[in-house]
Amino acid sequence: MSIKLAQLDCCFEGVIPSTIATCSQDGTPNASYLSHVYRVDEKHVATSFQFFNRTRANLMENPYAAIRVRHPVNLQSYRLRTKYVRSEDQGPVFDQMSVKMDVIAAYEGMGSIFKLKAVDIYEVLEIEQEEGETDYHPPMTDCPSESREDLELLRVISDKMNQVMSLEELFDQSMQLLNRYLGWTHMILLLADEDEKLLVTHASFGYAVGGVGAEVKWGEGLIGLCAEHRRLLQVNAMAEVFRYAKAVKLGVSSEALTPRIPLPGLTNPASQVAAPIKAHGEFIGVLAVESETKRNWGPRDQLFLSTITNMLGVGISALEAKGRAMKVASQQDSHTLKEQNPILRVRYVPGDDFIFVNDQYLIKNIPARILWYLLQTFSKSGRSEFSNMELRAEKSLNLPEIKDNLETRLILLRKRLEEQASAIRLVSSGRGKFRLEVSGRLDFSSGE
Amino acid sequence: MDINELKDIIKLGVSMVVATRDAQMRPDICDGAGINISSDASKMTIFLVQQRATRTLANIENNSSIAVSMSRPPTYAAAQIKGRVTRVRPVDPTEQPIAQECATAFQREIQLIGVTREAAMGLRLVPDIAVDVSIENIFIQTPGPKAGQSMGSP
Repeated sequence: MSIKLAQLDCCFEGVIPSTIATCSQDGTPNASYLSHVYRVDEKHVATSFQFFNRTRANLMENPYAAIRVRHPVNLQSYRLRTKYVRSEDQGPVFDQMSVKMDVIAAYEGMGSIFKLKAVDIYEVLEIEQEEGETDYHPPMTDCPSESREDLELLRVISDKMNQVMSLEELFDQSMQLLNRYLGWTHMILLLADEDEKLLVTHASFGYAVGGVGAEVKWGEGLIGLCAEHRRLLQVNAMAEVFRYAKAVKLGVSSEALTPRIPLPGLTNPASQVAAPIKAHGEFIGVLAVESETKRNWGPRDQLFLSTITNMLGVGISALEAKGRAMKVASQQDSHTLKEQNPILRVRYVPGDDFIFVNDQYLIKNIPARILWYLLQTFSKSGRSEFSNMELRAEKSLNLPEIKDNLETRLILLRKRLEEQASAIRLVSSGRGKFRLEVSGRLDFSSGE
Repeated sequence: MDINELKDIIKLGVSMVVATRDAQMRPDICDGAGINISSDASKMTIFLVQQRATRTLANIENNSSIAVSMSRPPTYAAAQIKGRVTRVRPVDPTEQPIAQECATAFQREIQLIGVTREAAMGLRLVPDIAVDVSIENIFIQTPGPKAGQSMGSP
């Protein structure tokens, strides 16, 4: 076999539908289109089995099949002569393809139709490249890359990520690096709230509105599914895959029962990919990337994204641990800011854990409780300097004892305040310390 | 989908895949470069590029079984025609405009799904072989509940 299966990875991305020919026992051939072809290893491919159809009936009678795949860029096609060997209704290959079906179902609202029954595994006996098919031979850069330049690029990115001193810097720096070195234009970084089974946007890149604080429930859209399955998921050529879908949104259904911050997202994305951020076996969040121009998140992009999310995971974990371990004495500064007009109406809704500033929804849960505590303290005592240590010790905040993610929650709160151009600001004043700045007269209310 | 709809789809530009098999019942697959279907849908001619259809043509010589699946790329509307090859011959010069029309429509359609103009126009689609087929059955292949249903025999 002179052509290796791994060389054809970008042909399996579903941009150009693959085709299959089978033959029944009585000698009647059948031609059909395939929704997915998946490379299992160097010698095997798999196709999805969703419906009982002629192709499947033929395979049960006669295991030989010819599968044709096409390169999405130059349209070069390859013929795989295969032999069906088995079907699997569980295991890693099934899981991988099943998740892809779930992604389609999530967009199409066609869960039962797209339900994967099994994956059919074929041994690849021979690969032929179709000769004389095209006069178009562009330089191929996306499939597959094994260049040393990529390793060097990774080293540069990891060096820079390694130099950041704070979580906020890590979030912003990582996306800037991906933009600068890989040309990715639109990214969202979300962190997991395990208790609530949702993801909260902590940073974004490339959007007119940052969307910090926007939430995605687990299982919702590509991002939510990525969180649920803890696996890199991608939708290439969205227009092709979801031709029936009229309006495609990255993650969130339009129904909003509670105040919600809109998730940043392109109106007409051409392709999306979401990768889990994990560290030490723990799920931390999701990095989602989308593109408005047609592109394929090929093997090279996937490798980069997985490596970057691994770095992010370790970085987030280390910086959070550092924040927890810091034993900085809380220097309570009696500095007081002059209260000025105008009035800042702050309303806290204890039942839902929401906080509103001037009747505008700001944030919920722990960041809402933190802000309420800070403002109340500031109002009563005039104190504006606070420390993370102090917040950790404050019982009314009800922070989780084991892993409180306090630093990331403070970043979220700070960014939300900035995004709303609020007259309330949180300004870092040293390691583990920050200052509350309030430009206005506070008027509190609590309740629905 | 009825026969007229199928003809409309063909006019609009279809991706065409041809399945045949050898004496050992091993299937082969190749692209079609155009189709001309009779008004009563009892016969059709499939155009092929010989260089890329070597095994398909050998299979047809061994036995006459053929299946041709057609799909309109932007909508996934698809149908499959099964039948018997009655004759293999060079493309008649009078048929070249039909083949050219199919090729142009196909090149236009695949650009609708994101293939670049350079890639679409770079495809070599000028056929040199015509395969006449007697149609035995036509099946709906559009994904959905009707997929696999017979549209009937001519």
